[in-house]
Amino acid sequence: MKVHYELGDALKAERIAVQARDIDKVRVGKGTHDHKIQSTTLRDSAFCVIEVPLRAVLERRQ
Amino acid sequence: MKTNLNQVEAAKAWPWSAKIIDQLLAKPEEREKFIVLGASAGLTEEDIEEKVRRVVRGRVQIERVSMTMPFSGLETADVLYLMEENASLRQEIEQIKQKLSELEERIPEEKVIVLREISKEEAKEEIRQLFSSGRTLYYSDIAEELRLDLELVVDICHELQENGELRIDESAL
Repeated sequence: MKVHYELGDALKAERIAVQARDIDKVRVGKGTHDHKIQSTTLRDSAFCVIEVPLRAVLERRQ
Repeated sequence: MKTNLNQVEAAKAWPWSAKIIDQLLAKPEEREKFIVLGASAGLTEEDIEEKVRRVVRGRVQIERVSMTMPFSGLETADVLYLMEENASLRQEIEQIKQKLSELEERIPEEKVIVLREISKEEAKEEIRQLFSSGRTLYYSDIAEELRLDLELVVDICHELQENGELRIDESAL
């Protein structure tokens, strides 16, 4: 398991499980086309793990 | 709210009161006229005087009836005004209730899970047992079901994977 600690390290996936001491309210915005995009911020001891990788990553692996 | 209005004040506060009273007091055959032509269409001076007399009589009767009601002392216009205000407030309350229930539906349900503090070995054994049924589970499912820290679950799953006890279900990805 690779763990990223540096400022600016990012995760990109289809499904990410998260955990933190505090989670902000979910903000709803407009994404591309008519898609709704939601965002939030995890604060204090935040931990995220990819549960389902992006389709492209899966295909590349196979 | 001011409720003891005199006639002039009542007419200012609620200018259609006299018209409504006229319609209410009109004989059945005259009511059609109100609907088709409007309150003042085609009326002679005598008709108007007769209507005024009937309105005054009607007001006296309504005031007598209203003496037994909790809002005795109010004028007819006030009562009608309050009735209309009551109806509009009820309508507003219904709208607010509807909006509130819509908002409640949008709020994600909060579920409180108290995490257990157990040793890594105990947690590993519980995860083994959980997978013994052959189910496919995400890290978050395991953490929720066993009430364990997500990071600990991921760590243990990697160890079990390296030992060949667990394997990734490609169909779930």
